[in-house]
Amino acid sequence: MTLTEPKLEGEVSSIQHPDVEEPNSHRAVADEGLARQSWEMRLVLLGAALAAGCVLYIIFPQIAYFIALTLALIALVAVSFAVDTQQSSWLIGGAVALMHIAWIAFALQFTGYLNSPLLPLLYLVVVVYAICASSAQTGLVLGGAVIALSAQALMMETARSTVLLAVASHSILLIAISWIVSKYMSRLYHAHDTAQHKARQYWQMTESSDNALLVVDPGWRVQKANATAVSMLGNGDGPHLEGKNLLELLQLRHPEGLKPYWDQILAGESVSEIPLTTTGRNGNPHKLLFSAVPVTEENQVTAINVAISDITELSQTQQELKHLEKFVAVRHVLTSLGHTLNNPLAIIRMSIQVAQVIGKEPDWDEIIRQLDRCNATIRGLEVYVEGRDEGVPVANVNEVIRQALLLTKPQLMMTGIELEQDIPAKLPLVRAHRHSLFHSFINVITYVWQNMEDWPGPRKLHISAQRRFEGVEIRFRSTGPSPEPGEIPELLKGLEAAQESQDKFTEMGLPVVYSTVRQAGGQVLVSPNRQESGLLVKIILQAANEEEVEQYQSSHRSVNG
Amino acid sequence: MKTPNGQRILIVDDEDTLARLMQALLEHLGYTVDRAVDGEKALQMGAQRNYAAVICDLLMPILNGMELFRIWQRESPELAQRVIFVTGDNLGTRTNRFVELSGRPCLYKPFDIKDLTAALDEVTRVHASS
Repeated sequence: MTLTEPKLEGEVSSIQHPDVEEPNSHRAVADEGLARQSWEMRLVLLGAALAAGCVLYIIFPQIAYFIALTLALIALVAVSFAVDTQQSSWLIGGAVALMHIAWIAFALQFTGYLNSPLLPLLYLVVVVYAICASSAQTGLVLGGAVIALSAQALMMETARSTVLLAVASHSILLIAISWIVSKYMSRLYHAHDTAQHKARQYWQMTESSDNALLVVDPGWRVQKANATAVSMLGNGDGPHLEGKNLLELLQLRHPEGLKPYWDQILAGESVSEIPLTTTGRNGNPHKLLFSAVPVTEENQVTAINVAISDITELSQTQQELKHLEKFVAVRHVLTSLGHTLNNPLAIIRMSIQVAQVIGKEPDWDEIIRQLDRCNATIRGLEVYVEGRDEGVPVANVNEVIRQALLLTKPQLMMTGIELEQDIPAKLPLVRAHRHSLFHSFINVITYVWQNMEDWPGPRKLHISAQRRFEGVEIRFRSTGPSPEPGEIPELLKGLEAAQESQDKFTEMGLPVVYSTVRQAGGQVLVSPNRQESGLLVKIILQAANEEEVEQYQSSHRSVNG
Repeated sequence: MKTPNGQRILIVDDEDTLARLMQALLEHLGYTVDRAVDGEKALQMGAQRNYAAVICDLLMPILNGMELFRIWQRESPELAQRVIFVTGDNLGTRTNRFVELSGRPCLYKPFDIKDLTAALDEVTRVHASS
């Protein structure tokens, strides 16, 4: 059983709101900027259309319907303001195309007739096609039509052809402008619509999120907050948090230690899952995880997106799970211990009773042997219940494995776990406290025992040890369910988090193994058992140096002597 | 106590000293006793001879008492009905659950020889009457 702890202070990674992958709420801010830009662009367009209409009116004052068309163009652009979607770019495109048609109609009326009546008709057809086609094709087709019109005008070599050329050249200019504008507008509107849609989608999702999600300004004043944030941070005087200072709303218990994080955020860096302790409404401590992503514009932080998770309940559950782990391991050891003691006790009792029935002297030597066996078991238990590590931090791996198995083997056998050992008779002494190492081995065995308990396949635990470079490697290879690839990092994360545990000598479970071994300068590696389904736990310990070995031996001599 | 009349008993226990003591007691009481050190050996012996009762430890190497009992339930149900379990695992919930489900008597170590002979008496009496 592993526990996933929050990230440690100082670890920083990019924020990811738990319920929403993309977009983050900074999109909402970007969205506003984009909307502002698009309005500016529309005003420019409107002004340009009016100016073009005025210029054309000055050049051709007699053409009243041209003015009417210009007004229609302005109306279309105005409608596009109201529509406020991607369709508006099509409307503007349509308006520009109408202007083309107006120019053609004007040219036809002014010139009276052309050499070939099919040519203007063809020109009209391609213009209609161009309007229906995509913008890139529109540009190409209209360009082609203008070239054809210009060619026709050149062939005529009359005053009318001069007008036609003027129309064509003006059309080229209009086509170029409309193409550039339509391209830009299309991109602008597409980006605008996407951002707006995602921002709406994001805020809809945030409302149902279990995490408090807020947007605050650089002064930590709340600009926007979802329902969870209101429920978590509101003090019951109303639903609104807007304008209130987030850091004050949090009621932090130790605000002074968190200033570096706030500075970091205001400098434009994200923070992820900072553990905070706050005072809840009822005065009880609450545990929160705080993540933030600053939104910057021109290197200035303009807003901060904040996600806060309440892990108070999770934290309590983790504590309960730790107690459960302790209970499971203690039950495991006690059950094995009971079994280990009951066999010699049964022999002692049977020896005496059988002797009484048969009328012979009991086998006193056998009884003493069985008493010694009980004594050895109890001595093993003494190691288990020792409260702390004392003396030289040097341990005999052979002895510790033997003692750990003394307390765990019966339970393994009872669960139908086949135990195999491949341990050399005399391994070098290692740098670790005997008591901690003993706990570690018990915990690893308990862990793999639990992993195999309900496994329908073959149940095997193979314990091997070997010299490795300047130390000893102990392998616990077990069958049972293999961890999923994603579970190993979680398991190791849990182990790393437990390294900070203050309760290391009483806490049970795999995390304490990690903590103990790492403190002794060793390593713990957990991986799937590649030979068959299951788990492989490797513990690598450093060999004790000559001086430590000498200290260990002299202390043992003094104890035994 | 009824005279056993040489009824054959099988003791299955890897604790050699305890098995020898039980053998000495039961032979003194008139039973004929065979011993097996693990479940696999007991399986072979159970196939070769008819036993009036089997005193079977639960925790043994190779094939433990639970697995042995399950095989006998499948292949020799009559023999399975003559099993008396003995175990030192007094705290194990798994053991207790198994014993309850098996419906067989179980002696928890260190047991009194009176309990052993009473259980034997019960099992062999049922066997003799069937």
